[in-house]
Amino acid sequence: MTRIFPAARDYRTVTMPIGAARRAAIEKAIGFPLLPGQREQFQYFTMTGEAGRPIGTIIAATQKGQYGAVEFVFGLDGAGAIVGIYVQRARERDQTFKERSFLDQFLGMKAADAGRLRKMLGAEGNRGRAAVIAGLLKELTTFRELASNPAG
Amino acid sequence: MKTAGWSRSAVLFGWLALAPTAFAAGVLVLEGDVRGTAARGRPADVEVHALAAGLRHTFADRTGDRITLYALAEARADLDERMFHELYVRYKGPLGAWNATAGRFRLPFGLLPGFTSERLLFSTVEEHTLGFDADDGLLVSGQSGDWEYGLAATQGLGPHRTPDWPGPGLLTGRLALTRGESGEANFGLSFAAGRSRMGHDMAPERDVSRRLAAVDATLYQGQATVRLETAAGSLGGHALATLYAGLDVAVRPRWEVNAAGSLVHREGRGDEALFLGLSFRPSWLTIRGGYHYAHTGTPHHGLALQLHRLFSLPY
Repeated sequence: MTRIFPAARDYRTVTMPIGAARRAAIEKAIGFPLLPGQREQFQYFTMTGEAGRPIGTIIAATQKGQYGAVEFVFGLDGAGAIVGIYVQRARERDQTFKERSFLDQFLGMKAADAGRLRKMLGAEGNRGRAAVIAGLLKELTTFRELASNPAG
Repeated sequence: MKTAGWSRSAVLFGWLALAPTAFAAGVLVLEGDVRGTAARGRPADVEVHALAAGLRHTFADRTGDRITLYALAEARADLDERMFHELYVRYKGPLGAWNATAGRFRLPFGLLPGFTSERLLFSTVEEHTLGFDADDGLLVSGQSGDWEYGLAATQGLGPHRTPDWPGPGLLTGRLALTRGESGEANFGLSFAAGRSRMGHDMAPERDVSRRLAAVDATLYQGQATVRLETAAGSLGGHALATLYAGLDVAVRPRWEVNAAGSLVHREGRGDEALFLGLSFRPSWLTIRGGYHYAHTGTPHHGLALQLHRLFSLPY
């Protein structure tokens, strides 16, 4: 987590429920169903600085690759833009999705870039890289949907 | 043999879980593990190896997650053996640089902090090195950058034994380093010193002295995961050397090949065991099966089949 937010002093776990209506809206927006285990709750970490002031958000994403889960971590600044991303665990045969040249293209992207991510996903033939793109699309959309109106 | 008197801990746990706090989050995990075994000269057997419920509840203050309560209740051996395998309260310092834990927790030794073979068909060697994987006491642990550490002072009784106070007394500790862009390698150095009960299959209960040093490594390389642990020292005044090696390779999207072996050398005798198996993971279950060979165990050859299901419910 401090790899993305070196100034962080601590973090707080936030878990939010995903209601049926919200889930339907998210799945419609991303174009594929949420995975089992990710359909009812959404979890992220609020990174805090001096005096507990929030300085960003860390999301640990999991998406299906060809040989199991692809787990990666990314951070959002206060404006919701991606400021860092790295792969935490994956067992894919092709490891090109771990390369910085692939991951760095997502820096600066926000939930508003969902259309761009959908296009990238449609054109991607590699299962590992597709898992990262699908995971980002899913997490950014879910975060926007829930964090913008937690009670709704 | 079961640990009695856990009800007071459960009441305390429940009281803390209901206490008011600024922020709270948690996860409930339910597990089922059913196994069938067949060995030459013995009738085939099917048992509910374990039913388990784990609850992790985290309280946060204004700056971050602060207190974690964790309970792992298990019923094993066709529900005959019931216990809290783990039950602790942990105070987390800033970013987890230091944490103080009190209760029953997994010990900082060898592969244990990051891996357990409890739900697998082949066991790691802590039964021979420490006598158990979890114990009651105090733990200071943490992580800073690529380094992690843990130091525990515990009773030396393990989760299976009759309660006693203060118990024989065991110190364990581990220092580890993670390397690689995605944490592909983790190397650890551990020690154990003191006295503790023999493994829970031993009867009658007796304490033995333990002086052990261990080296462990976990390596993630593409589709393969390798786990290694070797320990050496003395157990009850006799030289002890152990080795565990495990290899898991994802060969198809839902299929994994599992191979593992262990060697325990004590009092001039070597005890080798090997395992070769397959894991299959449809979306709703994990099915494991394999062949087990124990050089000095009886019978030498065995087959096992396991159905394992884990539900994880964050809230």
